[in-house]
Amino acid sequence: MDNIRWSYAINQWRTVETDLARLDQMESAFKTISVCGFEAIEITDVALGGHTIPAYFGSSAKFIEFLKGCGLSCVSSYFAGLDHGNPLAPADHERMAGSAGRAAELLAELGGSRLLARPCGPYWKEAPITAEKIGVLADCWNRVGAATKSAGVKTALHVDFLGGIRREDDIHKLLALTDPELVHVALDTAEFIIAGLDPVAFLKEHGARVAHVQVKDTTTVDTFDDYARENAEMEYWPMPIITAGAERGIDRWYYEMGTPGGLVDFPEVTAALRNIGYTGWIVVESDQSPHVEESVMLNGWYKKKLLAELSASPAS
Amino acid sequence: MGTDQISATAPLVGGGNIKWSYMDHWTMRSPSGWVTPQHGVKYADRFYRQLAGVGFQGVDPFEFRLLAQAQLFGSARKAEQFAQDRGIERFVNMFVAFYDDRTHLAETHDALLRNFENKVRTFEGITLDSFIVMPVSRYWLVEPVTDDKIKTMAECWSRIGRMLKTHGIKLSCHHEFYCALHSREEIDKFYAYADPEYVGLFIDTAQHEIVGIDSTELYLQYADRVTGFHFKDTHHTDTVDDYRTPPDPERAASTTSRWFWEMGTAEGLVDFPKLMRAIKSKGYTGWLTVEHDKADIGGANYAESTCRAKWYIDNVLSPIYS
Repeated sequence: MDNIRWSYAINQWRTVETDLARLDQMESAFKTISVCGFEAIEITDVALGGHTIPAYFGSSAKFIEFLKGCGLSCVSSYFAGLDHGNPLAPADHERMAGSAGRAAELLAELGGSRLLARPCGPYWKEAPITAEKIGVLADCWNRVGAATKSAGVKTALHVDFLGGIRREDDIHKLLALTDPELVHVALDTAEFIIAGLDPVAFLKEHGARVAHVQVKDTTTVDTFDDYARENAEMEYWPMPIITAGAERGIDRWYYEMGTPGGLVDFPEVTAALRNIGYTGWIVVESDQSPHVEESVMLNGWYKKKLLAELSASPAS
Repeated sequence: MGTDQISATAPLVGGGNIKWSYMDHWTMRSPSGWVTPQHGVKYADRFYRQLAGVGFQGVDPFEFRLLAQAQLFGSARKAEQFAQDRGIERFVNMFVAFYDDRTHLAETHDALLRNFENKVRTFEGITLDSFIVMPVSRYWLVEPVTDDKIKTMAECWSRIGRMLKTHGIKLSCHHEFYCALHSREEIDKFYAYADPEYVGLFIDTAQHEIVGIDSTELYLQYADRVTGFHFKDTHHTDTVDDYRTPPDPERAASTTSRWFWEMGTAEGLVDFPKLMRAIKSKGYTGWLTVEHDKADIGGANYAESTCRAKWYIDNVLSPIYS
């Protein structure tokens, strides 16, 4: 696992507009992430992305200086909304590629190398997912991938259980239609499990396309097709609203690694990553955590345990 | 006088001079509101994982919290094993909570000794380095604080400390800013009267700073009697005699609603690097304790305070001495 670096998603520090709005809040968040054993952060449009860093710090270099003062080294990755473009709308593709190129340039200045995006909007809005639609998506992401590559940044599509691209055959089709040099996958362990996908099997089959990994746990598989219900996910600021599962009392889909009853087999996932020779970032997320500092501490503990166990076991 | 027997200068096994413990005041959110790690196995699990994950090696429990954990897990030893299974090395010091603290009254002493003998029996399944006590009641309940009263307090703790020593436990006194032994003059008199073989000093950086005492100077004067430290900070000194506020100056004083802060805040008054250099100069080896007392006042939380404090240790204090 020497080629793997660990980062932490900053998004859950920014669930309301008063969060992460002052430098002292940023300092506290960064030091918390650092002392728990992570070396970088993943940003989003609303959490330090877009114009935020230039506005607060004047330059990327000054932000990195601030980050290093807190014990972190860089920004690993950027989960971007690409100016709210719809990848199923060909008219939006040029604007999305331009936005991706600018985000990639910013990310490169911040030391990062992966631009993440949702391959498709919410399933409940975009269904049915047809072969024709997947073709449009492929055109979009090939274009976006080319735009970020010139900045040395790989585009990685993040498959989530609420998104239009969430079924195994649809993922396969999209990968088949996109350029492997330009379009990659961001594998998110909890999202895969909730969607009924097997992250370990996916790594074995498509490992070469995986350019980014996000880890979080879950205790529930969406066997009730909550993802397909009207308003399963709603746009909101600074975070989208998830209503999926609310009718059956699911307030929280995502949990810390090592949560009792968690369904993700992290030792198997990390072993699979080792076996395919994965090189890059593992980003831990705390989406939906009611207490983000506790979550990062718990994840830091589990990461130590995971790495210790992995180093004690032989590669297969 | 055998003062080395109450100082925490035993060499550490496994390398390194310093290990960090954490004083358990923790609260956390739950579906049923705020809880402590003692409210259930799953909360204890989260607590120890978080501390071990961020690099703490020991835990200092309150007596009442350790009792609750002993009940939860079946015994104090099983509670400690639960922590050890999650990466904590052991329980280190226990802050004693249940006793008659009117030690300025000689008539309380016999019962106090029996009370502490019972505590030893209660926790005999685990190894605790020290029992930490507030050596006397709150100031407003004792004043005027006279030499005779201080001598009586010292007699009490010398007697209890002697008994504890026979069980391998140090007695260490912790001077809250509002206790009747809080000023430098009172502390000096108390330690002049107390038997150095049996009565140790536990330095709490914030409590002393609030009074206006420099913890480093206090440590350098009493290094042979110091058994441990609570590392915490404050943003205020008491300039208006808040220490005399009834009923509880920690919660009801006029200066501030939150006296205690984690290390590493910009407004902090304690000079921790200076103290760490002094600790190094004296060749102190053993446990140092981080304490966050009422860190959840004003919407703050223990997890964030703890991460900030440990970051400060790793990046500021450990480079000085570790």
